[in-house]
Amino acid sequence: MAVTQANVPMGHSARPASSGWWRRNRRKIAPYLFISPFFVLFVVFSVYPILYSFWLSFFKGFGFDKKTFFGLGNYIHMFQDPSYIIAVLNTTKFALGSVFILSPLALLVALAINSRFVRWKGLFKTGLFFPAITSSVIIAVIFARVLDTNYGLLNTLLGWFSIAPIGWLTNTNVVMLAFIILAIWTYLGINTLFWLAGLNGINKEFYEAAAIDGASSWQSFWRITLPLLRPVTLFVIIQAIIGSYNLFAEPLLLTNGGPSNASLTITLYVYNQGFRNFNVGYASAMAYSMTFLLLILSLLNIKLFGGYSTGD
Amino acid sequence: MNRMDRRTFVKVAGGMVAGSLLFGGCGEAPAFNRGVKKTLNFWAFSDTRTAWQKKAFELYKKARNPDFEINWLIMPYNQMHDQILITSQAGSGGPDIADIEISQFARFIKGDVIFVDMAPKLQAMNLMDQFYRPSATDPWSWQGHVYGIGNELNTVLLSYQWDIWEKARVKTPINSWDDFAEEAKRFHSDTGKYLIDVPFDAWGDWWILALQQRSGFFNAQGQPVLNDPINVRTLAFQKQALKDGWATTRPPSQSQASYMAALSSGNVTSLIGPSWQFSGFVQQNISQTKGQWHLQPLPAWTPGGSRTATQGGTGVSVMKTSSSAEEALDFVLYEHSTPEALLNDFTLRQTWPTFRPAFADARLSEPLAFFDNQRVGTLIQELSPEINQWYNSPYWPETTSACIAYGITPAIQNAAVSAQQALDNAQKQTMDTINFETA
Repeated sequence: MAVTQANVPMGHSARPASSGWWRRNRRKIAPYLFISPFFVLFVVFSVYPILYSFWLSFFKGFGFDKKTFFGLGNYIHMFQDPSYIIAVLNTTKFALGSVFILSPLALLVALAINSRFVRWKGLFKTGLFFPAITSSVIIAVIFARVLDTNYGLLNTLLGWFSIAPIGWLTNTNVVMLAFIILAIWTYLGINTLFWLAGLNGINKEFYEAAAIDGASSWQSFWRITLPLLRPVTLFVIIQAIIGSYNLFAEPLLLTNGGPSNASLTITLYVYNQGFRNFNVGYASAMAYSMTFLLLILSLLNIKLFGGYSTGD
Repeated sequence: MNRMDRRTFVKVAGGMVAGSLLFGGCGEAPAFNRGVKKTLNFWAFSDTRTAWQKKAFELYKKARNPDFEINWLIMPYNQMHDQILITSQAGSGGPDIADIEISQFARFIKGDVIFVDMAPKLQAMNLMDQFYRPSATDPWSWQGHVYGIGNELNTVLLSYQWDIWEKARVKTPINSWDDFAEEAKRFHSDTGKYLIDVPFDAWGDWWILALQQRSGFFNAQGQPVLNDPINVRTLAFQKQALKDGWATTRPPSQSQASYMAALSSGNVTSLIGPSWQFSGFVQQNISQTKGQWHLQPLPAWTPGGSRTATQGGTGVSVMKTSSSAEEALDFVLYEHSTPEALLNDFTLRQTWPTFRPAFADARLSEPLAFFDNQRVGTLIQELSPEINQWYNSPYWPETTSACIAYGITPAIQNAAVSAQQALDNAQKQTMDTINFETA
């Protein structure tokens, strides 16, 4: 210990001028150095790929080398590619299901859990949340058995009501509905929690004042609850849309986009083009088309819901 | 003992991190030297496949005393193939040797091929003609070069539940597809069950039947020929089977359990496929049917025509980026041409080898209990020379996906869509995609 201490002044006196600069500035620089690992990783693994794929979207050719500049060719081709158009329509159907079926259903469940008639609220919240933390692969395996035409649980259930077996994963007309059912099971819980957070944020005094004024429960819901849930509604809808347009693992594992591309989603088609056909320029262009589409939809929602204001 | 202050600790830790990044990140990653022996990286997606190759490497070490060891890395199927693609583009970080599944090969021959051509060495060693090439090298060949080699002899046979057929007085062996259709009609009208089923979302069965007649996805130049007359006739035959009611539609490919239930319940009583199907999936999933299966050659389309085909498989390729490509290739060819090594895979997975001389070993032709003590190896050896040559292409993914989405599925699911219309459409979609990619 004594030796170390004795050596320190010698070391200091022998240091060059640059170490004097470091001593003067280290307190300013050190915080940036400490947070730099995150930013280095973020730039390398997020920012760079995002920018590089945008650049790639203007090129064509197999793989990442030997590319030729193609201008807006990839973007123009999307509108002539029937598979891309089908993928956009399928994904939009799924997004509509998420917004108009899943989200209202989650609100109903949240209202039910939030009501004074329901006990063991924590149990319901936990139970409903479990599918959200279940791997997509496990969910696909479960639903392969639920949605099977001949031996599936859902058709067995429908059979009790004399409904003929439905080809959930084989019929082009109903396959996206099957994925909406899957999404309801998977994401109902997390969406319910979003709504519950919003409901718990509403001041109870509003309801008390309304009750004194003679408002019914129905009127309180329409005049107080829904308007004050506007920021949560905006959040729920935007995340439902973004989540829907990222649907990938379930159709890959359950139908591989079939039958006849009826469950081909944009991300699945991007994957097929990029990693199977090795057409990375076109895949990048499609990925960016989805980004633009989501940006527009999000802006429309923000406009429709009047931004994040509560309206009061 | 001296205590380390915080500053010293940060310096030492920083130095270690920087040092590890510097020494770990530079140089060629595939083959690296750990002081004693080089280590070659072998990437695979199946531990059962690496099992026989690990045993083969032990034999290789005894025989050749090589100056390297192998580091075996098993990854999920898609991830492994994706990462080979990515590391090949990056120029480093990939394996020296890799298992490449047949349907994944095409994307590695788009642009510059990343695998070593095995053909010169196979010829120099006089090995080329000692393999059943449609299973051993055709799947990994492109423009006369051989970029991979497989040990799985995927000779296709007709597997049937003999006890059910015998009870229903189905005449065996069935020698032609016309006879098969007649037997199937009678069987269905007598029992309400089916001799066979037809997949609606997979190309396997259709391709087997087409290859049996010397057609398939591509011509010798690697161009798609989906609406070739033989292909159309094959799909029309399957469609007619459904229309006439003597075949049923197979459950979706992803619903393996449903398919196996149909087989085990006797609702569907036969299947066409190679050993990974009848010795693999069937034995693994419906082992209770042991002893109830027999195998026979595929019924022929024409008198004297081929009675078999090949389907699927995984080959082994050597990366051009490997700094030890020569050593890697030597091992790969050794394991595929050494009967003792190949017999290990037969013992482990009941895989018959593509290397012809290996059939000299009587163990390959022993009676098998699962098939009612039939000598399956003898049948495979007899039929394998009849497998027709076929061609792979960089456009495999475009062609196969269009074949299913626009060809097979619409034709099988929709009575109003003819085989010709469906395959014309599939061919058009494929060519549109390829023309866009290559224009």
